[in-house]
Amino acid sequence: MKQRSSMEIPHGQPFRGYRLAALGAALAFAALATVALPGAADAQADATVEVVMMVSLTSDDEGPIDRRARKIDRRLRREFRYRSLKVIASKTERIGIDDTATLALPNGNTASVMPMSVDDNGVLLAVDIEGAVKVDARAKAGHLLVFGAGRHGGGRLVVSIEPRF
Amino acid sequence: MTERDREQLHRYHDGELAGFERWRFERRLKRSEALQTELASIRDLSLQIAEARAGGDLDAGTDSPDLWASIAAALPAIDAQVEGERARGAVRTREPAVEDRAGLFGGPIPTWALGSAALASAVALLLLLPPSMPQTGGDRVTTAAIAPKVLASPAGAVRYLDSGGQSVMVIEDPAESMTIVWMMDSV
Repeated sequence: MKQRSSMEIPHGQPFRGYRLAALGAALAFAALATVALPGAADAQADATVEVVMMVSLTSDDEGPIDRRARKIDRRLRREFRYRSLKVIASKTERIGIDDTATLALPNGNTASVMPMSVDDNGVLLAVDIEGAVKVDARAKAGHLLVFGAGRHGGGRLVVSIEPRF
Repeated sequence: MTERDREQLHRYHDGELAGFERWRFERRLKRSEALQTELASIRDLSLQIAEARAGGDLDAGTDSPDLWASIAAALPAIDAQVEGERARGAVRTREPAVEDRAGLFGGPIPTWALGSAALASAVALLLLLPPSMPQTGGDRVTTAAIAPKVLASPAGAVRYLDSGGQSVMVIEDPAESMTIVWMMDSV
């Protein structure tokens, strides 16, 4: 005759305890989610991001490197050849989720950026460099996103976007 | 509105956009009145088609005549014709093998010669073509994105990229805390 192992869950009354415990845990989780999630969503909606946008022009003509673009220059010149780098326009704007900051480019196009979400991993930005690329990028505070925005005036336009939050 | 916008709009309407693409498009849709108007007209059209289908108007109007009876009747005659031609050797059943094909000088070209020629051409192209891509080092991740839409490495900053079909180079440099997205045409 087979003996029941002490580890086996017997059928009948004792098993009801497990089910009740599981049901209780599920209800507690649901209650917690009901209280916590709307708060998290509100916090997300209220979040703002400071965005530094800058448009520069590289050129093969001799000239200075604009000190505001030194960080970009330090990395960019490892990839491309140019002799000068001039900042044409820059702006710093604090925007909320789904709001858009736009910077006019000298070639008539625009560069725009829209934060889509913010969390511990950084901010998810939708970037639209008109006439060039559309990019979604997740960047931590201070991470620099640099875009080649096409030829202009004998040089190349460079758009940089840096989120701060 | 560009042709690409229109295509994306139709894909959105048909529920074919997923993930970030859909998320991104919905945000563009929210900002663009032109897209909203176009979407509304697509929805109207879909609704009209659905109503017409429900009412039976469309199906009744587009019913094609049943041609199967006449096709089935003609099949035995066609089969007999094909069999007859095959018996007379008029129907070719075998494509010529590679070795049978006439070469540049009239003789056959062996398969190994074709392979060698292809390899030699590839090597020559590599040696002769000027380096059009910028130099890249080993301390960073570099991706050449040629497809119009690319989901780049999840480890990097770029999650979605639409270059409108142009070649783009993406350089992720965590050490410098920088990501460069560069249109290859603008180099």
